This record gives sequence, structure tokens and C-alpha cells, in this order.
Amino acid sequence: MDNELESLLPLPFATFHILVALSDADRHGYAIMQEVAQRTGGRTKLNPGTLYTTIQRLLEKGLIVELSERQDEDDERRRYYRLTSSGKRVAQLELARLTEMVSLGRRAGLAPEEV
Amino acid sequence: MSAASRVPVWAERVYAALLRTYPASFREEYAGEMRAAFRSRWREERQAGGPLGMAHLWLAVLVDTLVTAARTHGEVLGGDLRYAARSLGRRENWSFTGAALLTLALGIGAVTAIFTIVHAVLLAPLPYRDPGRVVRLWETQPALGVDSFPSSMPNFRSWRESARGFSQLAALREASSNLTDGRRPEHVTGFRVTANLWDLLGLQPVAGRAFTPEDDLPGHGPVAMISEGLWKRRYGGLASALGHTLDVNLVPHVIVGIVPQDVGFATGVDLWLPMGRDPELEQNRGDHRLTVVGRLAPGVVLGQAQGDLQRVASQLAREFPGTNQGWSARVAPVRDWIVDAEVGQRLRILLAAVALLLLVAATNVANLQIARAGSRLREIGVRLALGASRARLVRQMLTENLLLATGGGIVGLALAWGCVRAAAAVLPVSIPRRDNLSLDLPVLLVAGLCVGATALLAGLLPARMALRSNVRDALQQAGRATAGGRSPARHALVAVQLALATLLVVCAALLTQSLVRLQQVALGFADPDHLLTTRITRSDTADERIGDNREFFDALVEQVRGLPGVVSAGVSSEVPFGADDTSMTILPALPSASVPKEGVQASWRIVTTGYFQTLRVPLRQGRLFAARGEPRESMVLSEGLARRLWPDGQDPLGREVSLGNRQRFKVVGIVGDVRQLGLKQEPTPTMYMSTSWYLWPTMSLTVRTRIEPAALIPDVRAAVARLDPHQPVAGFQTMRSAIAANAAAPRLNTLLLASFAGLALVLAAVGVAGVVGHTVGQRTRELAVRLALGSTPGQAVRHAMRDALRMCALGILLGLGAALALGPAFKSVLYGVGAYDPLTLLLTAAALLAAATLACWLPARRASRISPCVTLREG
Repeated sequence: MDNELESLLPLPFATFHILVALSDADRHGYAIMQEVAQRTGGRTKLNPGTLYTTIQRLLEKGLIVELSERQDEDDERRRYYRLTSSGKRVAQLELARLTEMVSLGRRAGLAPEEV
Repeated sequence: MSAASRVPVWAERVYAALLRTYPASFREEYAGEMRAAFRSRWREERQAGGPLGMAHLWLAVLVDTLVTAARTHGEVLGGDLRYAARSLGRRENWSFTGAALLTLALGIGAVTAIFTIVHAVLLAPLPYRDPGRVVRLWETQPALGVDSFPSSMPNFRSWRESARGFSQLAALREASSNLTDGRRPEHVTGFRVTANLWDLLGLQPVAGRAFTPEDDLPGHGPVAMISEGLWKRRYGGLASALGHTLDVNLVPHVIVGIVPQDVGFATGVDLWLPMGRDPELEQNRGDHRLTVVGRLAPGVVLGQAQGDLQRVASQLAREFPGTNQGWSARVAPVRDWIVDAEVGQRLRILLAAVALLLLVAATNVANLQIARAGSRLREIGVRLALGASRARLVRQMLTENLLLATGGGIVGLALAWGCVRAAAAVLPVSIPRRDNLSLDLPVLLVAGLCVGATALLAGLLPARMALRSNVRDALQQAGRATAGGRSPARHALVAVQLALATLLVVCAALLTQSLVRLQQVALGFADPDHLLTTRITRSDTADERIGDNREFFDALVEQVRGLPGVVSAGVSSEVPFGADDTSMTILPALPSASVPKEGVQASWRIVTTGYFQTLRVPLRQGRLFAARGEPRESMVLSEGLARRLWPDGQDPLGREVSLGNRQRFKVVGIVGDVRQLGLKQEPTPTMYMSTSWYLWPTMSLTVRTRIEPAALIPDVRAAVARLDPHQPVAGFQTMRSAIAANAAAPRLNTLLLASFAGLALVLAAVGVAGVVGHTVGQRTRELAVRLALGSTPGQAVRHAMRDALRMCALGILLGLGAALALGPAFKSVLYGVGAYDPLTLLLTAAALLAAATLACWLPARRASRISPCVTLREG
């Protein structure tokens, strides 16, 4: 199972951000955009094209699932997405990969002072 | 929500337009969500910042949309291609895939190969600067029906001075020569040209310099330019060849420049000499020997140049009535001179034929696809039930056809490449520019176009049928393969295929008949299988050497006649089916009311008596020339010419005639008519002069043999060398091969067209058989009921094939109608048979109907073997 999921690494940055945004709550598309912007201090803003083509791919791979439509506070019907266990596992594997990269860089003395 | 934060309509519209760049399937799924997300982003930016923030948003959204849309399209296409490849590669589809690939490869390959030739000959620009402005000028004599005659030097000079429609005029004339410079003597094709020819055409020498006007002046040492081919062959392509001295007809010439091998109007010319000043040519306005080309003056169109040239010609006719009365002139695009009208028409017909073949091929694949779609209804139904949109299914089916057509196109290109390589060797010499065949960009574009067009043609109809079916029908029909079965679309395709095949078969039948008639024409001389000809150019061309040259040829005939295996030999200025013709006007010396005052345009030949005996041209009246001491003014006429000069049936013997050059001759004999120019050209009226009148430096030797004529070549070569070791001999040809070469273009044309027609017929028959077979399979139950109710097996078979056969008959009728409508287009390539020949049309229709009936009957036979009991119990 892990082997199959590992073949998806490294994750495109939009994919990783979306998985992270869904890690603590089910969200609809725009909410994912807001969450990503908030978590990155406004440095990363996903556009609708990138967001939904990525969502489509994540759905196809079974990393997220779609929930039935719900009304949000804007009174618009919206689709909500939830992270699956595979999705969570892929995000963990990516995190482990990134961590290893960071420690690799540290050991080489490349880490800036404040990190 | 406040009015201020509402997204304006225009922004919604722009974003909706951007969303259209995504595949329909993606749009259906996500467009609503994306619009909502966009609205939220828009409001956010609106609140946060000014115009700069908005501009940033639009730019980001635009780039994001285009990039992700392209990627999504790629993914959908990739998925479709993988799906199509899997589906086509499945074992049960192998026969379909193979048949479709082969059909398309043949169609696309044939179109590509023929288009390569059409492109090289008719379309590719000539190697000139601004080639559309280069023209050929002809002299004409409307009263005699002469529309393409060479010009005389004085007329050329007058045109050059007075015609204002041209920025330049240049002239050239044939000057094939013997080369001797210590190496093996060699005979080469050459031209004398005015110095401005290269500048006019815009052709640069490969090395060295072009001629200058000074090269024509007396006192300047003789110079020559040679072709790239001769340069490489004789001098290894070394720069040191420039400045080297080359003996041309025993006169030393300095090589000053190298000419590209392809000069547009010829590729086989090796020697180029300055026009020089030949006193006879300079002064005689009636001596028509020059090829004149021109470049239209800036802003002048062909029609204006034509009017201007005619004005000059009529002025010359008034000024020099003795030589120019009745003469006019015309201008034509230079390509019309290089590619004669018949060659162009043949190529266009071939191209049309392969286009039809491709259409039949595409129709066949469409037919196969529809049959497959019938058996794929369950798959389609399942996919529709699972929520696939119709657009998605159409796209999927078109992708499958695109994959098939691309595969067919690749195999077709490989086939075309092979054909084009073979064509370079097989194409008859009468097709100009055949050395320039290549699969270049325009050809590849056409092949690509064929791939796209066939994918659409073969895919649209099956896809439309899939679009129309609904889930329930699809699933139901798939469950009951025995019901239904009538498919009007497939039957219509059968009619189209038969119509196209009929058109091609009619065309091929007419061409085959023409070819047969062409090979049965009376030549006017006997047993061409035992004749050998060769051309011999004497190097010393001075007039005072004529006597010596006459002695040389007389001695040569004696030598050759003594060779074992030789029956007879003779000498003449031209031979039948040779490359050239010489003609002049001739008139009875006593004016006659029944002969036009301009006279009769007739070919003229200088011959020895041995020439008539060797060809076995029958003597009708009087006598042939005496071997020695023949008076200079003796003349022999062909019987056709005698009839035209004395139509009242007077005895021509002993009468005097006067030629266009004012010389007078006396008729001593009448011989049979000979086809001089070609199988297709009627025998030309011909006058024969004896060698005691004049002798050209280049004469042809004709030998009749008892053995295979080609076997005699070494002996004849040796006989020439015994008389003059420095005399080159070139252009041995058997009369059989000369006649074959003359019919080569029609033969190749007929062969190709017959193959295309045969292929189209086979494809159409396969298509018909497929439809009938499918019908029987689909209607087994209905046929079983009929048999159970008392139909005989024969009636069942007839019933099964009835619909398809009706469509075949309709198709054949349509094809005949099309053939009748297109008749005028092939009139010019037919010989001895009309485009509306009723017998051909009738026989073709009957043969096609028989073939169609067979194609229907073979699969329909299955209907007679249906067992009503078994079928109805199982059903």
C-alpha cells in the first residue's frame, strides 16, 4: 500500500497544501483556498483552475472524497471534501520526505541561524 | 450581500468564457464550483486593494486557467488514447484494427505518393527569382493552326527593341556537341544562350561567372559554361576546372562558369555556350530556331504583355510581308511550356482518382466502425448509465479514429516514400521535373490533412449514432442481438462506396481502351522490333566540310550494312519517335485555288534511299533517291502531303513545289504516311529531301537487323571508330523502346488508375459484404420466422440481400451519372474512344453489378442455412 502511495511523491505543492488544509476539517473549494492563504500568511493563493484540477486528480486517486452538497453561509450550494486515510498517509509520507531533506541540509551546515 | 461586493456581469461573463477552454466533461463537473470560487476571490481582492490587486487577480486567473486547461485536455486525450489503444489492440478486435489500418494506409499512402509527383511537377516553385513573372514567347500562324512555333533571330531582336511588356527577353537554341580534350570523346546536350538568360531567370552560377554580352563579340576567345554534373563527372568538382580549356566540336573553349543541373526547364543539359553571331541565323527572318523566354515588366500582367507583343508582331508582318505575313505571337507562363497540358491533366486526373480512393477507404472504415458500434452498444450503454456524457463518448470515438488514421498515415507515409523512390526510376522521361520528387513539408501537410479528414469522415457517423442512442435502448438492443438490424446509414454508405468505385472503374476502363487503341495504330513502317537508331554529330560543322561529312555517312552505311546480322541501313535528319521535329510551309509552284495561299505546314527530313528501305516505308508512286548523283532539287512527298497539295487528284510526279524559304523542288516520288511524332499524333504530312541537297552536322543512323537490335550496338560503335576514332556515338535506341517510351505516360497512367479502381472495387465489395453479413446476423430471428412460415431458402437469401443490392444498384447509377458529368475532364487524355462510349459504360455497369451481387450473395448464403427450429427455440 505504502509503495503505491510513495510512487505519488514528491507531491506538487498545490496538492500538499490541499491535503494539509483538509487535515483538520471537511471544507469546500473556496474554504480550501482561504485556509491555504491563511496558513501561509497570504503568501500562497490557489487559483480556481489549479484548485479544481488538483481536486479532480485527488478524487480519482482516492486521496479525498466528496461529501453531499451543503449550504454554506453565503447561501450557495457547495461541495465539501474530506481527507481519506490514504490521503492522510500520503501527506505523512511527503512530510517525512521533506523532514529528511531538512535534516540533510542541516547536517551539511546549510541551515540559516534562526531555523 | 451588499451591492458593492456583487461581481459585475462582465466579469462573470469573461470568467465563463475562460472556463470554456476546459474539456466539456471537466466543465460539467466543476464549472459551477469554480465560478463560486472565482466570485469569492474577486470580492476578496475588491475589498483588499485597488486596481493593481484586480489586475494581478485577472492575470493570475488567466494564466492559471490556460495552463490547467491545457493540462486537463492532455490528460483526457492521453486517457482516450490509452483506452482506444487498449480497445483496438484487444484480440477480438485484431481483424477490425488490421483491416482499418491497411485500408487507411493504402488510401493515405496513394494520395501522398501521387501528391508528391503533382507537387514536384505542377506546384513547387521553379528555381527562378519570382518565377510567376517568367514567360515563354511563341510565334504563331493562326491560319495554319500553328500555335507554338520557335522564333527567328531577327524577330527576337525586333521584339526586344519594340515590346514594352517585358523587362528582359532572352533566347536559346539547341547546340548539342562533341567534347574532346584528350579524354574519351563525349556527346553532350547543349544550348547556345544570350548572355542575359541567367540574370533574367535569376539563376546564379554554382562557381565562376555567367556570360557577358562581350562573350558574343568576335575577337573574344570562345568560352563555355558546363553543368554541375559534367563538372563533377569530368573534373571531380575541382575549382581548377574554371579556366580549363575544353574542345567543343574541335574548337578550344575556356570554361568560365558552372551552371546548376536543374535550370527549371531541363535537367539534362551539360554544355552552355554564348549565342554568338551566326550570319545565317542573324539575317534570315524566316529561320525559326530560337526558344524565347521573357520576364514581365513590373506591374504588367500577362494579358497586357500579350497585347503588346501582338502589336509588335503585326507591325513586323506589315514591315516584312515576305517572311512575316500571317505570323503573330503569343505569351504563356513558363510552366505551360515546361509541363505540357496533357501531362498536367493526367496528373490532375490521378490526384482526383486517389482522392476518391481515400474517400472509399474512409467510408469503409466508417462502415466497419458502425458495425462495431452495433456490437458495442452494451459498452456504450454501460458508460452512458455510469454517467459518461454523450460529448465524452463522441470525443472518445473520434480519438479512436484519430489513432487509427494516424497509424494508417504513418504506414501510408512509409508506403509513399517507397513509391516515390521507385517513381524516380519508373516515371517516363516525358514527365518534366521528375528529378525533384521529395516528401517535403507541403507533402507532409497534405498527408496530415488526409489523416485528420479520414479520422473525421470515418468517425463522425458512428459517433453520431452513439450520440442518438439512449441508455435503455442501448442496453436492450445489446441484450437482443437478433432484433432490428436495418441500418439506413450503413446502406447509404454502401451506395456512396459503389458510386465512387464505379466512377473510378469507368475511368480506368476508358483509359485501358485508349491504351489498347494507341498500341494498335498503324505506324507507317514495318516491324519496329528489328530497328536500331543512333545519333551521330560530326564535330566539324563548317559548310565547306559538308562533302566530307556526306562521304563519312555514306561510308558508315556501307560499313554497317556489311556487319553480320544487319539487313539494311540508312541515314536521316530525324527518326520517327525521335525528340525533335523540323517543319516548314510548302506550296505548289503553280498557284491553285484549292490550296490556301499560306501553304501547308509540313515536316521535312533529309534522308538517304536506304532510310526508306530500312524502315520499309512503302513507295506508292515514282521513285526513291538515287544512291549517287541525285539532283539537289529532288523531293519525295508523303501521300498525305501530296493529297493536300493537289486535292483534285492531279498526278504530283514531276510537279514543282516552293518552300517557305523560297527554295524550289521537284517531286520525284510518293511514299506512305509515317507517324513521325508519336502514337497519338496523326501521321504528319512530310517532305523528304536527299542528302545531295544538304546535310546536317547531326544525323541519325537507322539499322534494320536480323537479330536482337540492341546486340548490335558494340559492332556499330566499332564501325564508327574504324572510320573516325575521335567520333563519339550517343543515344543508341531500339525503335521498340522509343515507341514504348512514347506510350509510357499513358501506360503508367492507365496502370495506376486501374490499380486504384481495382482497390476501390475490392474495398467497396468488402464493405457491401460486411453490411449484408451483419444484416443476416442481426435478422436471424426474422429470417427463421420466414422459413418457418414456408419461405424457401432461396427466398430467404434473396430477402437478406435485397436492401443492400438495391443500394448497390443506386450507387452504380450515381457513379455512371458522375462519370457522364465528368466526361469533358478526361477527353484530352483519351484516344480512339469517347468519354461517353456507351459500350464501355454498359459493360462497366454490368460488371460492377455482377461484382456487387456476388459480394451480397456470399454472406447472404448463410440465411439459407438457418434452422428455424433451433433459432426460434433459442430466441
